[in-house]
Amino acid sequence: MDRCRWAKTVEQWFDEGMTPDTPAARHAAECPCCAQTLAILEQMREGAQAAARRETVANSQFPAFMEGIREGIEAKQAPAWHFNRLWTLSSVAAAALIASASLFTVFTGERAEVEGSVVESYSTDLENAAVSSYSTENGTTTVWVTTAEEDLW
Amino acid sequence: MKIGVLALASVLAAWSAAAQQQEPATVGYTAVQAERENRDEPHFDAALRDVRNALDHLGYDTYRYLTSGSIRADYGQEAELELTDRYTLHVTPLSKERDGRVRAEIRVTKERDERDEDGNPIKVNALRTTSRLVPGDELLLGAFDLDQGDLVIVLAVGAEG
Repeated sequence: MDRCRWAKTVEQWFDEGMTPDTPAARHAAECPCCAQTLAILEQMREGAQAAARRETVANSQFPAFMEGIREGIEAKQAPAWHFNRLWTLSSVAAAALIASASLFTVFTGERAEVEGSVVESYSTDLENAAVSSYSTENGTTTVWVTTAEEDLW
Repeated sequence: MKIGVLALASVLAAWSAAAQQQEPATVGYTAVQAERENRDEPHFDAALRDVRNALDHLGYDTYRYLTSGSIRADYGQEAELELTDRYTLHVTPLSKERDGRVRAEIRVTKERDERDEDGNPIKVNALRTTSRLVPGDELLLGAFDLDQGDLVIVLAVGAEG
């Protein structure tokens, strides 16, 4: 479409509020090209106004609005919460299992047959002395130091 | 949260495993002065009635009561008790075995006449032994020379120890 030489003037007139009885108004009323330009500018203005319009929540809509937010948050958190709970339950179960096994071992574990007291090692720092170990028939274990002569200390 | 629960599990496990060793061990002792006095029948002081069977085989004919009591010691900690003016008993419970026996290091130290540079008496191990003791069974330690006769010690780990 060929542009009218008045096009810029008409566009400025449009932007400035379309004051009637101006040369631009009179020309726009007669020029089909400028009339089409004005129509396009009107559509663009309406589109821009629609895009810029802000949604508002009325007081009566607020409870429903908050309920929607809550549901959204819970829906997002639900999987993580389930995971944490699973972890906690698993850990508690593991702790209980370990503790139970330990207590079971401590209190009910089989005891080996007791053979009696055993002397593992013996020694003396006394001079001219020797140590021996033996058990009597009545089960008394004896560790005995024998000095060859009177202890000099 | 997870770390806390796992830490709790570890603590519980450790506590359970160590539970049987937490109680201190109790070791009863009786110190006896044994002598040879050429008696026809062996003599035992009345206070030695409970340990007479343990002493019977030693070959002395006179057994005099010196002192008795019990030592209570934590596992891994040495407890000591002066038996006479020269002899001291040292007991270190090492561990409690699964069969109930108590493994312990026992020392009898003797104080020498000499003193060290600081003036403290010098002590030597007259006897040092590591033994696994059945609770209630007697362990006889001897013979340590006294001015008169010999020192003999009867030990027994407490049933609860």
